[in-house]
Amino acid sequence: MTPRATRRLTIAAALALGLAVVLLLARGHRDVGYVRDEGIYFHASRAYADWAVRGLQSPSVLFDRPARDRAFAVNHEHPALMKLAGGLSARLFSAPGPGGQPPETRAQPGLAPIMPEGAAMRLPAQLLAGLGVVLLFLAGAGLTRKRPVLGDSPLSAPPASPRPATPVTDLSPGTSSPREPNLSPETSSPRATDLSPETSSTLGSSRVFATGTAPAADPSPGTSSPREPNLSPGTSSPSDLSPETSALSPLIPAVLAALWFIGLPHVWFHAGLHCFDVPVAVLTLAVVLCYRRALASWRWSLLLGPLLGVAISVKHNALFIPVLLGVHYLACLALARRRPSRGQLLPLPFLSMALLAPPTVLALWPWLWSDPLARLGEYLEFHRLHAYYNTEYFSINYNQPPLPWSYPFVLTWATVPTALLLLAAIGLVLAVRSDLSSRPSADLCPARFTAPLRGHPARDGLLWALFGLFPLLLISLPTIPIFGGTKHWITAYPFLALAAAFAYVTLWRSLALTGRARHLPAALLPLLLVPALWSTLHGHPYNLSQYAPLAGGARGAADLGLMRGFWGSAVLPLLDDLSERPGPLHLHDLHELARLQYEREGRWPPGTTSAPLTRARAALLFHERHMLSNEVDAWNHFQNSAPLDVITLDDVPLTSLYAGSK
Amino acid sequence: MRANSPRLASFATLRPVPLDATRRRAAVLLGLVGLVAAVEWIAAARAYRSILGPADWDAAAAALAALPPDEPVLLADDWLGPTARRHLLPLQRSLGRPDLHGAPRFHVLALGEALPADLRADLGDLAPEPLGVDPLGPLTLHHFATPSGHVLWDILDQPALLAADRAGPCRKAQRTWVCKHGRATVRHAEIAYRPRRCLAIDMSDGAALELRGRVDLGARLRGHLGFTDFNGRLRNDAPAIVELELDGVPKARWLVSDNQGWAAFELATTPGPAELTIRVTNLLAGTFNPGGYDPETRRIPCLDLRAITEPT
Repeated sequence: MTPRATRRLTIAAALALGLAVVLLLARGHRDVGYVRDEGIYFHASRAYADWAVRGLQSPSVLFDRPARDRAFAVNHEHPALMKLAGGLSARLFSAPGPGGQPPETRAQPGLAPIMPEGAAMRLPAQLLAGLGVVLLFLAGAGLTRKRPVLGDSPLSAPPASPRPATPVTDLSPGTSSPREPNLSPETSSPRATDLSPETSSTLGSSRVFATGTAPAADPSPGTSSPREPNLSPGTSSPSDLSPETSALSPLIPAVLAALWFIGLPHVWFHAGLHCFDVPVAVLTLAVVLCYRRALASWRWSLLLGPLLGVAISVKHNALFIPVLLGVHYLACLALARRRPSRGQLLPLPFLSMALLAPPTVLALWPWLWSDPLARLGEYLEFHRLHAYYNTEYFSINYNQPPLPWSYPFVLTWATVPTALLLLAAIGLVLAVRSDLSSRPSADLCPARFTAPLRGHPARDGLLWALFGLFPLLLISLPTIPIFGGTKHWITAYPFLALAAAFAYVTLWRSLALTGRARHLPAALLPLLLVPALWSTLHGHPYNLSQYAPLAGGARGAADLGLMRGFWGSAVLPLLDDLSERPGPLHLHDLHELARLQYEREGRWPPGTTSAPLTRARAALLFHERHMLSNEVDAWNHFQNSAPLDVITLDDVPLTSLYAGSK
Repeated sequence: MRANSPRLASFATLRPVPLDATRRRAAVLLGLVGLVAAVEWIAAARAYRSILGPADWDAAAAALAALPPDEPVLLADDWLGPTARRHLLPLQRSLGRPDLHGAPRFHVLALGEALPADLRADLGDLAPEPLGVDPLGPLTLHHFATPSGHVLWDILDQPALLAADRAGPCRKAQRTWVCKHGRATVRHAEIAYRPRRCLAIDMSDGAALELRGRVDLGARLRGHLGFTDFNGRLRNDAPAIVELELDGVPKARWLVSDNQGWAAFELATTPGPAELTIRVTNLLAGTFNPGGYDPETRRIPCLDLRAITEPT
């Protein structure tokens, strides 16, 4: 297959997988109850979209401060972008709510009413999850290229020497060097497929590194060729592998990277919600891929700032992105072991982030349009002083610092299959080791500020390590709240996925299999991915409470005393029970705004109203360690400790319905 | 080796590679990852399925029905509680027991370990003697004996006690004493994240509830005090005072704080009838929040007290 055909196939497969993910999320998450936060976001989305639509009809509304503030005051502790997108999606796709209800309590029909209002509001986040899969797929596919070069556009480069490939299995550190600098702007223009981080490992060089082709001979004596990490440190030499042995299909790491991420039960659960956690993870990945290109291309630099602004407009996690990119950039300069040029001291990618991201954030968050500094300060202060909610960890309820530093690491192990984590760890070690020892060519031209690292090794391993470990390290600080479980460090997972795919490619390449054995990497891929997919399929729609196989699944986690769930979403099967006993119901952890959303869509049992426990005839109880006090209150109220019905995941109670004769 | 010159660097890259070692390392790492993945397949097959079906619950119900009704039946796996109580009503009888003292024989229904940490804590210094095990499919019913006497008197069952606060006698209505300075109710309460059945004493700050009456004593009076609920415990650390008098003579005084959890106390007694007075003073019943002291959001002490005989 020609490189162009391979590329087309890869793009087609990426798009197909992304689309499949969006369709599965859109349909599958109709079985996932609305989580507490979604109830508030639904309410905010309607207010924001109403303002936007009125603004489209009469632009003067956009500048009417009282009207704008009324709309965006709702849930102003989070940026508006995803909620605005959700509200507009509902305006497009929402099916009408049931007749017989006042208009304000039922969903209004959209222009193409094809799904419930809540599902329509979830759609933008699901589309972003699909985009994440596409990006990971393409980035993973790039890992099969023998000598990835950052900033390069492989297929637009001149063809390589037709001589038989002499790829190296020597993966030793310290042997990377760039080739002739590519000064053509065409080779680094923004293109969708160029988002692959592994299309290059040396910024700005112009070479073809497609599967099965070899780099041209290095014309500059004394410079060594870029290598992949060597499993045997300190040794290096070309191997005698045939081209056939190096032909690892790009689809293998592509599938591994994409499914490593989206196939995890907690990622899948969050990916379908009208929330911000998977969207910000995807946008973090997008910004990092863009940054990588921006180091050798002014066009990508100009895109980088606004893209960062979009990420920050999704969730505050993105505020850390420029800091981490700065660390990576400084590391690249330091590892180059040469005096930085003037252009490198004021690089365009960082200028772009500094100058273009803030106005983007401002533009996408109308709440900030009035009194921006004070409101921004209020926003940052809210998250700096966030309340410590309750969470269970090894049978201890934590609701105040010091919080256990091991929490994010243990929860990651408990929710991500160990083989995938192991592969990611190997990938990080191999890639970082290689990055720390590779150096740019001695004859590299001075870098300009528009392409500050053109010709330098890309050091993707450092990027993966920074973005894959920082979220976990941050949450491990004893004063950082831990109530949200894995969703708080879900931004790390795309980078761990890429590291795992890199390890898979590198290890198989090192084996240099021939003959039928060449198909082993593809044949054994399911061995790695099935535990995660099994976990996710089996846990649906309760994947917030699902755990990895070695943790023992939900039962094992219950034995270990790990968090069961925290969002009041496991409720849908109980709605049938509730319809048989109308009356006042204590909602417990189900948010009233989430209940109203069910009601707007005609899914809530008629005649069942929310009430405090003291007046309730039935009560929902979402099981968490600290919720025992609420459960005990229900026993006392109903004089009965046997629930009428229980929702379970593998025998583990998630939600109980209590009722009494009262 | 670090190449210091282009010539040396070039030479360095041409060193022969111990290819077998490289391959071997790659094979080992891939083998390790594959092995872990294979183990995960097996673990997934075990983890991702329900192991308790209706027949298992029916078998457990039949086994529990055959047990003497006055012997406690406990569930080892608390997380299974809601489902288990739904199928096995006898489990409700023992729900919220103060501990395993006063139970010469008891039974444990377990999916895994028979005596997990919570039950071992309830045993305290009692050494349980296993009497037998009934396998009930995935569940197991364990029978134990302990060197404990039996309960002669329980404050939660005793209607004859008189209650008073400093403003005078309290009125008794069903499970509640209503007093001038508050109320005391026999109910379930969450204490240290476990359910306990106890006398919840919700009095105003510094007010004491006094219970008095003639009771039959055994070898010891054993009780507990804890605070409910977890939110209140987070926002108020003030202790409560428990005082015991027998025949008008002060015998013991304990200061209990919420970081002691379900704090046990004990007093050796002479068997026979005696006039018992127990007084509980909660120094602060409200909670502290960023706005200051909030007397409306309560943190309530909960008491249990029993007279227990010598082991027979």
